[in-house]
Amino acid sequence: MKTKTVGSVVLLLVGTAALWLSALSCPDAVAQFVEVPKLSSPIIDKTGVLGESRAALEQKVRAFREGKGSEIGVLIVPSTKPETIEQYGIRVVEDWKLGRQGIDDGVLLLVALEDRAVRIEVGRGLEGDLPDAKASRIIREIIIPKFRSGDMSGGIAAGVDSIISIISGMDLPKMQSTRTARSGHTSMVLPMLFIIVVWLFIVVWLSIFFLSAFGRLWGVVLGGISGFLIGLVMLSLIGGIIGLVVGLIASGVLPRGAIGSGRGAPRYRSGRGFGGSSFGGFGGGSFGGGGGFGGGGASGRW
Amino acid sequence: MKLSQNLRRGLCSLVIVCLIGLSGCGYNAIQARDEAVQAAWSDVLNQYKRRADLIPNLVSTVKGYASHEREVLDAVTQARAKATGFKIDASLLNDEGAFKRFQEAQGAMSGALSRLLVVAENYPNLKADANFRDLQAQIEGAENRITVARTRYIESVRAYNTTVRSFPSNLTAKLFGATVKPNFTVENEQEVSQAPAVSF
Repeated sequence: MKTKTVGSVVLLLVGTAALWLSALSCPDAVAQFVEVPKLSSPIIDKTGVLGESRAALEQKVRAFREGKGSEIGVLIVPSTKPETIEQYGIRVVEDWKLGRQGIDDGVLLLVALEDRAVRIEVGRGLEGDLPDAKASRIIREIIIPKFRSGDMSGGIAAGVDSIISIISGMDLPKMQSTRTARSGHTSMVLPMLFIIVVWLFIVVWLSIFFLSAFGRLWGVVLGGISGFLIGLVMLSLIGGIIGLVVGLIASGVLPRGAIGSGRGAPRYRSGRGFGGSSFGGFGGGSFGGGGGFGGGGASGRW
Repeated sequence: MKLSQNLRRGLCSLVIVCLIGLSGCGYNAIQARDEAVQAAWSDVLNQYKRRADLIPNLVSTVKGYASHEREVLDAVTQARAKATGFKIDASLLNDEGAFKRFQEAQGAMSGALSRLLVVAENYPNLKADANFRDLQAQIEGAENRITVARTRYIESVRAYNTTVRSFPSNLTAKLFGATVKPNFTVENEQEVSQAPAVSF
């Protein structure tokens, strides 16, 4: 009898340990892929190929963001293997969310040096004026010729320049408009108040009804239970609606700015108004405002 | 008097049962996830349509330089006709067989398209044609968008199916006839996610 107990305890321990081990070993499977670096600067060079031209490039990109609002990011990695540059690129932009929320005006120039591959990832809002064919032309006619002659930093700078010149010609909302678009946090308060009032009304009405139908004791109990349940239903309704909206946004059907309360918005906004930023400070803020990407853009190999 | 009191009690119990049923059993979660799946699915369809819309232009451009590659060109045209002729509506998502046929039609189109682009490699004049290069970039972009849309669809179906299968929302799902939705298969995913390999 006793050995049986000991045996089952041991079994339980082994089982738990195995569970823990399997849980711990899970991240290893993910870690095989090249990691997406943290967006600490719009220009991230993991290879050092940019050298001194990095600062000038960063200044240019930040100045452009200040004027036009669009965010251009540059990422240089040694390799994206085992993923293709397209697979890695979409992971990067899904994480960085370059561009303003709801306008989706971000562009990423991604270079994988050892793979000899380059990609321009275009945000949804820019797909009209920077279509795949145009992005492909920038890669083929401007970036790759320079890369072939060994001028990596020149190719990247020229690529950024031509992206800037195309976006400059676009009619995009001004910088301020994003702030008014984001000030919609208060819009959630009114519906909440309305729901609470409705809930109170129903609960009072039901309690009176229960009291008259069942007498004092059962009336109070039933009134309490039903009030609680109605509250639950209303909460879950709200949850359902929020889930629906988030789901729609995540799947890209609604633009990210479709609701006033913005995910990811504070990251972009927090840096602004404090003058400099956490990294270097050309008077910018941190990049990555919540722009959406749908896989548009082009790739090239040299 | 007694009857009306019984009636009242019955009514009250009914209200309570309904409330428990709705709030506790994930009905709303199922609805929200279902809506997310529909949204992701329409994005997938959009991207497939984007690719199909590029085909006639591509075929006529290639014909200008390589008109005798009739076999490959016809294969693309036929694959396009088959893929776009597919009756697409919401019921496709709840019908595993139709979903599979749709997938096969789109897969066949991917295959025919990549063969055409490989054949195009043999024609230097065609490859140098600016119009063709733009089209090629657009096709590649469309393929990539399809991959992204499919990945997002797969995610949304995974979330939906998890809700429909797990307790206690599976009971609600059964009651309202919400069934597990078919997803893209892995083999096919790999096949389609391979954008046509074209070297410059």
